[in-house]
Parts: sequence; structure tokens; C-alpha cells
Amino acid sequence: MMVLDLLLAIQREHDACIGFRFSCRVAMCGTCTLRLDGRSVLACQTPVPQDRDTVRLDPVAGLPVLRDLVVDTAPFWREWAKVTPYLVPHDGLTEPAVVTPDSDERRLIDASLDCIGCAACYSSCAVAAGSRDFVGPAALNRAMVLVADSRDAAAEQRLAVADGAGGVDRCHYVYGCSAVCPKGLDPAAAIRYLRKSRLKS
Amino acid sequence: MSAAQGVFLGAFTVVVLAVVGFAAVVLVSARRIDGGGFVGVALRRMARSRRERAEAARWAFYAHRISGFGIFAFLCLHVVDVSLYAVSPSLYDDVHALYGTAPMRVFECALLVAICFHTLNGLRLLAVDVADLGLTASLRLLGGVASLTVVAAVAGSAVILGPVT
Repeated sequence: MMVLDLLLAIQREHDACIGFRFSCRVAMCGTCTLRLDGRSVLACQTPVPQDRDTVRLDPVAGLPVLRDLVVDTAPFWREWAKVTPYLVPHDGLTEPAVVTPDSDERRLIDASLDCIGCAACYSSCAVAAGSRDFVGPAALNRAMVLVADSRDAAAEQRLAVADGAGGVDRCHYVYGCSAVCPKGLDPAAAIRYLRKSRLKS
Repeated sequence: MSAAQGVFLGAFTVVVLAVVGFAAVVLVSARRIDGGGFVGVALRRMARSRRERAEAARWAFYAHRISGFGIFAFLCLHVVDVSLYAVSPSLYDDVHALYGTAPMRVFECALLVAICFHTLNGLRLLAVDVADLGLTASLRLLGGVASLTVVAAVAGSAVILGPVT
């Protein structure tokens, strides 16, 4: 039984008013994030621990709670928007770009591409969730994906954000982000890459 | 006890209370964050799986902040008490006689632990950047930091406490 099944059972049988979010149930939408015994997880993918009678469920850390396990994700997406999270193509291109599957660029990007925006990393970051001024692991991971992409023309503005007051220097390598990512991404590695990239630029 | 010693101990008490207060603020605010501030939960999580041992890095972050504040707060006081020599060497000797008392030597042991941990953990964080270390390697280094801190603290404490034991 997954944690989401548990919540649905509670809603059906005990408290119809309990508030929580879910949608896809297959770890793609990133809406059912919560904290199980302190750890940020996707409710739809996390089994209920069988070794004890009670578990502790909390809403995502670092975001305003609207009700029960429902949080306002607007601050998370505001940080996400700061890094221009979409590809900005070079002007005047007439031929399609070619990035071969075995290239270093492809290998670097592929490992960080599957972010679903669930905010588990944000919740487990001692700096971002501590309500301090920090862009956060998810946004910086997205910035790294685009900075490393040779087709993109906005690397400098992203690196300016990464180099700014709430950028990569706020990371203290707590590694909460990489430890909890339900998609197995390594945002801490992306942050290290951005720290080096700004030196190169 | 002379008046100068009384003033020093008063200021020292303020420093200790400030450090305790700062530690409380760090740990209470950490309760809002994933696993932070809940010692029992953190220990259970660290015992659960290899990946959960990243919690140790979180506690290193809290310990780094608290030890850093403690070192800085004491340094502020220490700059003042050392500069007493410029005012009067006898006043300096009078105040510094306190450093040889048993309670102050115990405090010096705690200060040594804080300095060792803060220095070594700072070097670990530099190494993460310079050598591009991932989660596993970083945690191994943290184990080394903890081990070296214990060794240095035990050896240093033996020297510091030697004259009063």
C-alpha cells in the first residue's frame, strides 16, 4: 500500500475533509509530494512503512501551507521562472541542431532532464526550505540543463542568476536534494557544474 | 575575585548565553525543514539506508553554523581580553589567570572541538567544490572530519586538562 492509498482510505473512511493533492499516480505530475517521517517523498510511489503502527505525515517544507497537506507552490515556481526555464534558440539558424546521443553534452544533460517539479528537493534543502533567499536546487538543475545545451542562447542570463545573491553560493552542500529526488536526479552536481561554469564564462 | 575578573566572567556568560540562544534558534527553525531538528527521526533515517545517510550532511550544516557563531562570539571577547595588555600588563595577568581554572579549561576543550570541526568541515566543503565530489564521497569525507575532530579533541583535551587532573 502506498502513502497515497492510505490518504485516500482516510478520506473515504475517516475524514472526508482531509486536504491533499494528487493526479497521475505514476510519478510524472509531481503534485503529491509530502513528508513521510520527515523525508520528502511522492505519496504515490512510497510504500507505507510496515515496521510500525504510526507514521508522521507533514506538508512540503518551505512553502506556505494552504490546508492539511496542500501547500502553495507559487514561491517554488517563482524561483523556477528566474532561470528562464525554457530553451532560447540562437537567431538566424537555418539548419536543425545536431546533438549526438554519445556526445558529452548529451550525457551531461540527460542525467538531469527528468525533473517533474515536485519540490521534494526544495523541501529537503536546509537553505531553500529555511525561507532564505535561494533559487533552490530544482531551478538551478534546470539552469544547468540549459546552460550545458549548445543550442541555447541565454546561458549568460542564467549564469547571472546562478551567480547572483540567491544563486549557487547559497548552497552549503547539505545534499538533501540529491538524496530525496524521486527521479534520481543529482541537483547538487548541477550546482557544482554551475559554480565551475561561471568561472569559465 | 577581582572586579576585572568579575567583568570578564559577566561578558563570558553573555557570550555563552548568546551561543546557546543561537543554537536554539538554528535547531528550532530546522524543525520546519526536512528531518531537521528532530534528532530521533534523523538517527532512524540515517540507519535506514545508504541514501538516508545524507542526513549527516544536514546535521554537519547545523553544527557548522553553531560552531562558527560560537567561535566568532568568543573571538570578540578574546580580542578585548588580550588587548588589556595594552592598558595594563597586571590587569591582563589578572584576567588571564581565569583561563587556568578548571571550569575555563573545560570550556577550552569545547572551544577546541568547535574549532577543529569548523576548520575541517570548511575544508571538506572546499574539497567538494575543488574535486567535484558527489554525495557518497562527501559523506566519506564527513566521516573523516568527525574522526579527526574526535582524535584532535581527545588529544588536545588531555593537554588542556592535564594540569588540573
